[in-house]
Amino acid sequence: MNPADADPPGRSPRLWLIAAFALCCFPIAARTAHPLDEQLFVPITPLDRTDGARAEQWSFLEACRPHLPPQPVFTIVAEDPDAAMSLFMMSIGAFPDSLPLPTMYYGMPAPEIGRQADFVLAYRQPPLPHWNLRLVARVRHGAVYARLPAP
Amino acid sequence: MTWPLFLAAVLAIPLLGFGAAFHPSVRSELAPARIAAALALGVVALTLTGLALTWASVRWSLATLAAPPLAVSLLLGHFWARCPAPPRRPGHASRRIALAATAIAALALVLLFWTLVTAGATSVDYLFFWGVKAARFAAVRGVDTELLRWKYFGHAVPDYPPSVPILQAWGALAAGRLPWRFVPVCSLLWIVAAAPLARALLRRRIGDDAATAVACFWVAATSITIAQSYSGGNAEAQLLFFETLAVAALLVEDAAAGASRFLPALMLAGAVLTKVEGAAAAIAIVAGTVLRDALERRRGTLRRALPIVFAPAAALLAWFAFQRHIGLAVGYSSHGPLLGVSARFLPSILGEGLRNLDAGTLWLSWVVPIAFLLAARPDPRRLLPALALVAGLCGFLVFDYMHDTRDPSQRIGWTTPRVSQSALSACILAAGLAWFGREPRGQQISAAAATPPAP
Repeated sequence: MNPADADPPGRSPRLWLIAAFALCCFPIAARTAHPLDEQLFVPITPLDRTDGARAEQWSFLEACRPHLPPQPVFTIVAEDPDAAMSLFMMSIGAFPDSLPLPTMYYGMPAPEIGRQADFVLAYRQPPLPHWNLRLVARVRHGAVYARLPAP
Repeated sequence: MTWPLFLAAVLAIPLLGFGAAFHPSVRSELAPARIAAALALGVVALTLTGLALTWASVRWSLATLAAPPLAVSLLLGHFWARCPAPPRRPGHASRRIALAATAIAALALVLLFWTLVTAGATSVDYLFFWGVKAARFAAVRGVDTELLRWKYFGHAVPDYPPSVPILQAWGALAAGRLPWRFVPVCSLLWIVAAAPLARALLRRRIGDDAATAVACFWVAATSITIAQSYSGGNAEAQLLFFETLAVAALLVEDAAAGASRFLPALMLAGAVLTKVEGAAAAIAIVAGTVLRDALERRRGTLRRALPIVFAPAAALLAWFAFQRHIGLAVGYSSHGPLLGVSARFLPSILGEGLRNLDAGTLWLSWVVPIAFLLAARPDPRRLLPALALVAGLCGFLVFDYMHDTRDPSQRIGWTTPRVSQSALSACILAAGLAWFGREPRGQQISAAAATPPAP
C-alpha cells in the first residue's frame, strides 16, 4: 500500500460512517412518529404533505380544468387575498396554454384586468353579481363561471 | 404516464455533455464520476442553447435543443480524447468500509426518495415560479419573453437565472407536459450524480476509505437537508451539485502549477446559471482559491485564476445579455439599496439564522464536520476555497437580511435552511480533508525528490 493511501493514525473512517448513520436516524425517527396509514397515504397534489392550504388550491385548479376550453382566458376570485395570489401564481403554470388575468395582485385589487377574462374560477366564494356570469360547473371548493355576452 | 419520459429526458442530459467525460482531468476516473462531469457540461450547454435558440427566434424541440450540445461535445470529446491523462491511482479500498458506506448512503437516498415521492419535500416556489416558467417555456417552445416582461409576472422573479426552468422544460418537451408530481423526485438525482465525482476528487488527497466515508457523510447530510428544507423541485439540489464539485475540485488540486481547472470552471459556470446565490458563491470560492494560491506562493496565481473567473463571468454575461435583448432590467434586483442595511434586527437575524441551521438533524450535520475540523487543527490556507464559501455565504445571508425593514425572522425561516446547504457541503469537504488529509501529492513528490538519500 502506498503510504499516502493509509489514513493518519487514529483517524478511522469508521467515525465518519457512524456519524453518517446517526444522521439517518433523524428522518427515520420523524417517519416512524407518524401513523402507518398516514405514511401510506398516496398524495394527489405536489404539496399534500408540505402545505395543506396550497394543496387544496392546487386541487381546485385541477377540478376546474375539465370545465375550461383549450387556451382559456380566465381570472380567479377568492375572498382571502393570499389565496387569490397563490391561485393566480400557480394557475400560470397549471394552465400553460392559457392566459390567467389577476383580479387581485399582492392584495391590490385589479378588477379592470380580471373583468377582461372569459371565465371566472371562484374559490370558496361566489363572484360579484354585477359581473354578468353564468355558472358552468360547481367543483370542489368553488365553481367555474363563464362571462355572458354583453346584451 | 408522462413521468417516465420526463425521467428519460433528464437522464439523457449527460449524453448531451459526454465530451466532458473525456477531459484529461476526469478521463481516468470511474464511469459514475465521468457521468457527473458530463452532466455538468450537458446542463450548461443545454441552458446556453435554450437562450441562444430563443434569441435567434428558433423554436425549441428536442432536436434543436440537443444538436448544439452534442456537436460541442463531439468536438471537445474528440480533442480531449487525444490529450494524455494522468493514470488513476490504484485503489486500496476496504471492502467492509465500502459496503457500509454504500448501505448508509443508500439508506439516506431511499429516505429522501420516499419523502420526495410522497410529496413531503416539495418546494412551494416550484409551484409558484420554477415549474411555472418550465411549463410555459415548454408550451411556447422557447423562453417565454413576453411572460417574463409581463407586469403581473413580477412575483416569479424574472431576473433569476434560467437553467432550472430550461432543464425542466426540456423534460416537459419530451413528456408532452410537465409532470408536476414527479419533477421534485428528480432533485434526488443531483445528490446521486455528485457523490461519485466528489469521492473521486477527494481520493486524490486522502485515502480511498476516507474519501468513501466523507462522501457517505456528505450524501447523508445533504439528503436530509434537501428534504428538511423542502427543496424538491426548486434549484437548490442543482446548485448544491455545482458548488460542491467546484469546491471539491479546487480543494484537492495539485499545488504544482499546470493542473487543469476545467472542472471547477465548468461547475462555477453551472452554479451562476442556476441561481442568484450561485454568483455570490462563485465570487467567494474564487476569492478563497486566489487567496490560498497567493498565501501558499503557488506559481501563476493570477494566470490560473483566469478559467475560474472567466467561465462563471461568461455564463453570467450570457444571461445578462439575454435579459437586455428581451427588454428586462439587466442584472439582479436587491432587497432595497445595496448599502441600505440596518443592524436593528441583527440579534434576531443571528438567533433565527442559527436556529434554522439545524439541517434536520438537530445541528449534528454541522457539529460533526466542525468538530473534526477543529480537532484536526489544519493549516487553514489549504482549505480556503471551502472556508471562503462557508464564510461568504453566511455573510451574504446576514447582509441580505439586514436590508429588511421589518423583522426578517419569517424570511429567515423560509430561506436559511435552503440557502445554507452549500455552506454545509463545503464545511463537510473541508473537514474531511483536514481530518484525513496530508500535503498535496505534488508537494509530497517534490519534497521526496528534494530529500537527500540517507547516508
